[in-house]
Amino acid sequence: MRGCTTRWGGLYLLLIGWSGAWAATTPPADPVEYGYEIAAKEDRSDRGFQSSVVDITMVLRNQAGAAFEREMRLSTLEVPDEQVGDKSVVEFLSPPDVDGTALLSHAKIKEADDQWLYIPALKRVKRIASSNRSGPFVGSEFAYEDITADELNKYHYRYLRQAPCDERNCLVIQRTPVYDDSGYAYQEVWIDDQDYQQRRVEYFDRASQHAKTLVLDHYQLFDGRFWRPMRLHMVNHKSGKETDLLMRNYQFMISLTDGEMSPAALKRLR
Amino acid sequence: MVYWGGSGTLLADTQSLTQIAVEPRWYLSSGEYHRQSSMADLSVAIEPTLDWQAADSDAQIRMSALLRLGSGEQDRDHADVGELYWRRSWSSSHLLLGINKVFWGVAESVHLVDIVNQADFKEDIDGEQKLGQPMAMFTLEDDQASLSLFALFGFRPRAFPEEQGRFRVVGDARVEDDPEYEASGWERDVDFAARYSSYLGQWDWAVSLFDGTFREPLLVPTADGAVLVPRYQEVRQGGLELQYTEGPLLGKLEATYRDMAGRQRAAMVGGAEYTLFGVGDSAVDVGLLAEYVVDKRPPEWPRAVFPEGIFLGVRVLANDPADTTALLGIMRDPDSDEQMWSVEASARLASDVTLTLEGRGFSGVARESLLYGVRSDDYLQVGLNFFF
Repeated sequence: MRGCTTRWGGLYLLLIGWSGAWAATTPPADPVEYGYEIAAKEDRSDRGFQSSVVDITMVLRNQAGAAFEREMRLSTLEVPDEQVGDKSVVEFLSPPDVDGTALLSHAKIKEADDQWLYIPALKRVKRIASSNRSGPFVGSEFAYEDITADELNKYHYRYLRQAPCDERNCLVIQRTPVYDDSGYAYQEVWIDDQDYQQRRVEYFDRASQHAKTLVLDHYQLFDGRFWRPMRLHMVNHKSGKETDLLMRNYQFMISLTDGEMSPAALKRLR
Repeated sequence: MVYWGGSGTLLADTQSLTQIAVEPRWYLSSGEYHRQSSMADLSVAIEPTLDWQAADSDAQIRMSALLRLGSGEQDRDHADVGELYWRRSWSSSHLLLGINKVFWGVAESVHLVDIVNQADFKEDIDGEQKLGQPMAMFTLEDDQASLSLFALFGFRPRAFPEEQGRFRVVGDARVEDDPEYEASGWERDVDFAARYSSYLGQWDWAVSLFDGTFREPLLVPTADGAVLVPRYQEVRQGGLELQYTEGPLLGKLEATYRDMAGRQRAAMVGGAEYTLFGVGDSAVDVGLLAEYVVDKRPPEWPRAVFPEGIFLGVRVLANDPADTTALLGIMRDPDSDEQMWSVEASARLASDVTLTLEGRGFSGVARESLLYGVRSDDYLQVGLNFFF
């Protein structure tokens, strides 16, 4: 079912939920096939949201507990052509010294995304190098590859086991990045067997050490179709640092055009 | 009052932000000229901004201004309204009326194509700080391309440092307050410009045209040589901007073709930026920059600071919560061995406070160089910036 794949460029990728309109999953015959089937189920269900905007508070905490916050607004335009990725803009609102800075991404399937940065103090739009998948996103515990493109064909899958997650039952699958420059050997993704939403992701670094854990919770259903986690909680087990993404004011099917997701339009954000 | 349908969010949105920068500056050597006694100064810059967005997002008003006070012998004190405009958007077109700032270009070391705004030399001699320009700007746009047409009203002459303080580019001479213009009548007061920009795959490019008063003046000495009269000439400039982006590598080219004072000449700056991501298994990215400039001008034109130059630079992005960045660069004229170095760095100390470091220096400056007057003005500046 490769044709059903939708690619997600931008931060909202992680924020996506999947509606569970599918029949109960059959027991594993082939773990590779079954793993792919589970991943495909979560991937498909989000098609057709067209566009969305959400306000995000990013909270960074170090080991000593000191917190630092960023405010941003994420706009996403779904691109129907499946050979082309979605378009997204992250506009930074605070801290005030970065107010108005904006990052436009045109997501790609396997190659690095196209990215442009708008620097309001210089009124300058710069196309930037974006082959940095494993680097941190604005100093957080989220890597760029954690917040972009959960596209189905970016990974190989394998079903591992069932495990309880809160009051639900989760299917745990291992996914191995097939794109270049990933910072991970593999990830273990916990998907509940009811709504087929990601509940937990464990990241294993290139040395196969358990480096980070992401918990996705406070799911809400929008427009009766689209599940979104309202909180994402990432813990870095090596550094002890944590990053929360707190979502609010989700809106879907807003009026957003290709023209507004172009480098020239970035100049008009501020 | 207008509200968003159903959600109760206030629709007409007003936002204001004021930055106050406290900037002590230290000069590394004593001045060359009369009344350049001070080795340090402490100036304050106040920059208020105000944004007003209409309920339906189709109209917008923006204001930003700068007020600098307390610099050394007041040589850098000034005020300017950088932006005060109204903008209305339709589905694929946009109209802007008022004072605005516009940047054109891709290079880091010099800004050849950039010509819409006069540079604010009292703020910095790097040309990235601009004076506001009154204009009407009409933009036609789709997802691949953008065409902007400009009518620029009123000419902003370049500000020269007073006959006191540092950065006296003209040395002991005095600059006449009343500039001369090649054009007269409305031609002097109205300039026209157009720019078409687009992108395709790994290529971003733009072409531009400018017909009006050149932003750099010729400094014509009077008979006794004690006074220099700025003379602004009419120029036709064609510009090209090109960037190629492939993984960690950026390739850049800017070129101009100018027709001024009966002479025609091309100029270019080209180079590359290569980013080393996550150096030494850390989060730190290091970018290496190299650019080559050729801007050799006929004697009838204002001179370029670097007729030929090789620029080498290092950019550091720490990718930390404090958004720590630094840029070090050195520009060298291969003929004269004249060099200009610069350093810029910033980091956030608290949510509403940032710290900046800025420095600039000169070496091997010959008597005939444009930088001769500032050869002893190497400085380091620290900035504490507060946001309200």
